[in-house]
Amino acid sequence: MVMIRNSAWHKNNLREIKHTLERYLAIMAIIALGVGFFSGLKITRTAMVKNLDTYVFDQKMYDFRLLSTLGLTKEDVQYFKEQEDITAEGSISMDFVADIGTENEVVLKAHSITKEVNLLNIQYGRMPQVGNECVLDSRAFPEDILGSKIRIASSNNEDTIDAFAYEEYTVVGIADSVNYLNYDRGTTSLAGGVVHGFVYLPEDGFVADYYTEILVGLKGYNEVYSKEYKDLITQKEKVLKEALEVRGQLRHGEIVEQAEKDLLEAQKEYEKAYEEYLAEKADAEKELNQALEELEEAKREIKKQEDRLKDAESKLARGEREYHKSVRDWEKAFEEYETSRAETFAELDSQQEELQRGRASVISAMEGIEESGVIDQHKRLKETILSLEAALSQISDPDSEEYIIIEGQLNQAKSAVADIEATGIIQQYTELEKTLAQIETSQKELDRGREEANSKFSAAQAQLAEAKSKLDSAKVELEKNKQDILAGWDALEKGKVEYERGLKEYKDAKEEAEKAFADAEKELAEAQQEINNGWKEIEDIPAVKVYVLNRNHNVGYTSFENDSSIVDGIAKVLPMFFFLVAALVCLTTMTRMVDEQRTQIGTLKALGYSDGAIARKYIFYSGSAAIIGCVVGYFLGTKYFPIAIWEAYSMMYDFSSIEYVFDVPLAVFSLGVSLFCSAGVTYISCKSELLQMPAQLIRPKAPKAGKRVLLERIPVLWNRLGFLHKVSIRNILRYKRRFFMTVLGIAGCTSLVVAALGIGDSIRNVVNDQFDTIMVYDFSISFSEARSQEEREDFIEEFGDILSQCVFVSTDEKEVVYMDGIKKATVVATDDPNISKVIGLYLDGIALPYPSAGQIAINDKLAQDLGVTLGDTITIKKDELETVEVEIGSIFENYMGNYLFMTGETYEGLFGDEVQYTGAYATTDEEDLYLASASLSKGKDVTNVAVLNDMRVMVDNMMKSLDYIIWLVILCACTLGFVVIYNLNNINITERSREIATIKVLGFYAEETKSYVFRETIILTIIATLSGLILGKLLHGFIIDQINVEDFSFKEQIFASSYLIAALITMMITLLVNLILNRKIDRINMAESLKYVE
Amino acid sequence: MGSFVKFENVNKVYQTGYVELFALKDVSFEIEEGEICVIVGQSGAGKTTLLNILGGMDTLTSGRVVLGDKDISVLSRHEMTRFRREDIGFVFQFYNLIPNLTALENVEIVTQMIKNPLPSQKVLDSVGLGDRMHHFPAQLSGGEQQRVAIARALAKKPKLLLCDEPTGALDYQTGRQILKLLQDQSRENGMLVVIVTHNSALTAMADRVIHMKSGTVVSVNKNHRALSIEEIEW
Repeated sequence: MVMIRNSAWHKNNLREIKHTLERYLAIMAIIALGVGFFSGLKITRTAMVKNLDTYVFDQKMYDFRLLSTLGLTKEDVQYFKEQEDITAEGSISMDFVADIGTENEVVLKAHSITKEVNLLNIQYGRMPQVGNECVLDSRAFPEDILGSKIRIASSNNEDTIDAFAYEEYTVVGIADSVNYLNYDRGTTSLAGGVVHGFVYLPEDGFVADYYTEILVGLKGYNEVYSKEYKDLITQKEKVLKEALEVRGQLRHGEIVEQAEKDLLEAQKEYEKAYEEYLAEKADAEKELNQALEELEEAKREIKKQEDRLKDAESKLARGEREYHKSVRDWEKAFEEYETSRAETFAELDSQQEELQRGRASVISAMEGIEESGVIDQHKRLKETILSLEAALSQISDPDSEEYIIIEGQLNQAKSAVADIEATGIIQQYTELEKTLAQIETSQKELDRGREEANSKFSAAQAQLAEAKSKLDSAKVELEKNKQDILAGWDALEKGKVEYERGLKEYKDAKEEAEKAFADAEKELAEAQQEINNGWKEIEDIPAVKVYVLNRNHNVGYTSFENDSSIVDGIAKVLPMFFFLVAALVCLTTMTRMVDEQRTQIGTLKALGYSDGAIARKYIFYSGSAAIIGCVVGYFLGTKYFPIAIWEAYSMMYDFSSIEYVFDVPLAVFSLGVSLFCSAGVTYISCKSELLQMPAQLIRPKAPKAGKRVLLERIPVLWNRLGFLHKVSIRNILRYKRRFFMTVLGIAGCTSLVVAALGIGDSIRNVVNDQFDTIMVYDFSISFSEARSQEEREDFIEEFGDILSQCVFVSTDEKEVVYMDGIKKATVVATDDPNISKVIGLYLDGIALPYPSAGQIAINDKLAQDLGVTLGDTITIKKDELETVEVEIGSIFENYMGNYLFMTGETYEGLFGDEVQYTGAYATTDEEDLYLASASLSKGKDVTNVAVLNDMRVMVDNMMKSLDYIIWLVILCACTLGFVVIYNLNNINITERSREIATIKVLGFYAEETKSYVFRETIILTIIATLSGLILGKLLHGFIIDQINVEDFSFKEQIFASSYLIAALITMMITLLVNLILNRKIDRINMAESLKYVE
Repeated sequence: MGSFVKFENVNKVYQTGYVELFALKDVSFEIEEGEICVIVGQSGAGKTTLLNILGGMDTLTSGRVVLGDKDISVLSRHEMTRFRREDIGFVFQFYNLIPNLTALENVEIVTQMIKNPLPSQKVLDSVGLGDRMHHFPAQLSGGEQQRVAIARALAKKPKLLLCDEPTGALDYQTGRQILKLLQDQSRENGMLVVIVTHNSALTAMADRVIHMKSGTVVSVNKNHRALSIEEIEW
């Protein structure tokens, strides 16, 4: 032992390393790879959980949520605050439709900010300081939304609008919430059913009488997912539940009391209202009656007026008749008058004529006489007589001269007269004159008659005129009366119209009043009914139900555990593989090294070195390589694996970047395993050599006998092989250990690549199948309100030229309850048989019918998770509190999300609500999906048109994150493959350098030599690759089995191309190794190698 | 008989740092066809280097080596390989048989490479291994292995058979048998055999003896009374 501690010994050992650096590096690399892969994968789970643990602790994630069907009061919060070991804080949460200034309104979940539990992790901006400020979801909103406002959309129901203290809130911060560990934001009953994100408001931002929930945090640190924590919460949950029950009972009592009080008040109010109603009714009736009386009075007046008018009319008629008679009488009288007048005057005229004629003959006779002058003479004589007599009379002395002259004249004249008279003429004339006088008398009589007639007729005429004028005035009078009567009628008509109007008004008013009273009565009756119902309701107020939910009901929390377990699942099997290969690599390498150095070992033994010392040399060699490899591998693995895998998961969880975790037990374990794989196997391999005597060791080892292989027993085949092939085959079969190691190493590489690519394939399969076979529709259309039959038909007609299929459905997010917790599922209900044209229900390639009434179709993953099969029943949460059960009618393949399909009837039967057709699945034949979607979104009440292609792109992107892991595994696999193949070939060449030198000497050309050497490798690679493909398939199955991602299921299928790629990659590595080792073969010196047997 | 092998002022220098190490220094000699030539010298005398150059396994630094009508000192690697393949037979101290081939196959590996070889089985018969030709080297004794090696060399009817300490790993009697075989083959087929050995007793069987020392040829002696192996004892 003492001797060993000399510098020559150490120098020898170090030089050994330097001279066989390739071998040393190979051990180092394989150990580094094994350790890196193992520790990297192992630490990822730890790091992920630790990460969550830190986050949960820092952000004070709640341990329990206390819920009550009746809400929770400030007193309740106070009560729990006072409990030991816990912090409690009331919280309000509420879903609402928010207007964030974009085209589509979104559903947000509003929470009140709590100060002691569920702290927010502000990413940008700050916490709200006043009631109308808010903090938004960092996953759903970008930084630039800071400063903008979100509005409580008017489409919210009144209760929701009332629950908020303000109409709009200013965004002052963007934050993560520990309540939402992954992307899931929960479901909602509001439009669309999916919560877009959360928003936190100060408590002042809400107007609420009670809290929705109380968040309880346990004091102190408890490691997430740890058994201690699980035990602790189980224990604590019981205590809290009991306390909450008591609080719930109290609250129940209060509510009943309050309700009774309210009802009594309502009753009082009702009675008052009833009285008021009666009073009002009486008033109204009185008024109406009065109006009616007035109307009747008016009616009577109208009647009277009418009578009077009619009277007047008849009088007028009589008057007219009389008048007409009078007129006729008058006309007769007038005629008579005219006739008698004419007759009279005609008589008079004829008498006159006669007179005229008599006169004319008299006159003409007289004139004849007169013309004879006799008369004149007579006259004159008479006159002269007269005048003379007069003159004689005057002369008083009749014997005066004058008298005697005058007498003489007179007697002369008298003699002349007597002469004349003596002729008769004067008689005649006197006769005539007498006749004339007679005529004149007749004339006079006639004139008098005329005069008489004239005056008589004049009087008659005057009388007639008077009668006439009397008639005329009577006529005027009549006319006037007539006019008066017409005016009277007019007035009457007017009066009538007015009356009618009045009557109608009255009737209307009456009707109205009656209606109003009926309404009022109905209202009152309703009010009474309501009050009565109220009493009944109080009786029916359900016994309070309370819930204590722990973190296991938080989707993010539970799925994080699942997801981190996936990595752990992979870490279970793959690293074993690497370590096994590492151990084999070390074993082969070290065995080879010990073999090579037989002579040296013998010499050292002969020189007096102890077995232990010699063994230590080799153990040091491999051990030091392993330690370096382990350290390098550990740090690289534990640093970069978690980062890469976390990157992949950051799609789902992005609460913080992963931190480096140093795990002492893991590091020690890795070191232990690597030392066992290296130093351990080294000891085993040199032990057998050390048992030999030095003399034996110094002599060359007897070459291993050539052996006939099984193949030689089949001469048909064997004889056809060239010698070189024979050698290769024999060589391969001769070194069994190396054969297995090579096969294992290369097969490992191939299988890892197959598995890794296979995972990618499985995912791509899922995406393709999901979107090409299952979700055949192009658009998912949401409507703001449920569509009626008519509206549905209208919509289909309107977009008939765009849509080839349009199936209206009701979609709801529901939770399915099972033993281990809850699973979310989308409930799709429709009665449209065309649903099978937009959704493909298949199982193992066989199309399934849509479930019949009373049954549902459930997707395979969900069925598997729930542990149920055909004919079983599942339990679905109806709301927060109630559940319903339904039978499974069929199970179909689906890879993304969980779905329950049912008919409308089934839906109504289960959930009691009518099916709300608020959505539609549609397909189009249009080239441009987005153009079509744009026109669709203009449809009536369309709120959103989701293009399925978007989802496909999104899922594609998400799946890309898994590619990280895939490429990481492929890279490791390639490295593994390279190290193994290189190392083996290297050993092979070194070991057989004599043989190679010999064939070179024998005249093999360079190419022939290389193919002689590499043929083995190639054959081995082919065998290994083939077995690797099979192994890869198995490994893939195992990994897929281990991967258990919420909402996704994977198809265990690998594309042929992946097998091809894996095989090609392996071949490429082999070729690369061969290329590198070509030079080594070239360098083998014929002459030197021939010299000694080493 | 003309000379088949001709070395003219051959130098082989190994450059190690600044020191030039002469493995061969100004070596000149000739060997005639059909002769058995023994090259003898102490370890490090340069005889193996000489054999290597002669066998086309190593290059020379300067000078000229002519084999028959070929100047092998100017051949390319490929031509050199063909030359080895077609014209030279080798017999090594440690036989250098391929362990995974039977005796017959070890011969056939050579006969398959060239155009007109002797039938493998016949050659093996001629070296006295007719009944063991399906054995693997490990199943054969040292002498038998060396016979296989000789059969392998003879099968391609080489113009030159080079033997590097052919008896070095064998016991005395077996060594004698092997040397007898070589001598017989040379005599029967008029084949030029060059044997490199440190055992100067073997010089008695040679037609020509070349003594080497420190990389130089000390003497080249023509032995006109070469003895048969039976006559030699050492």
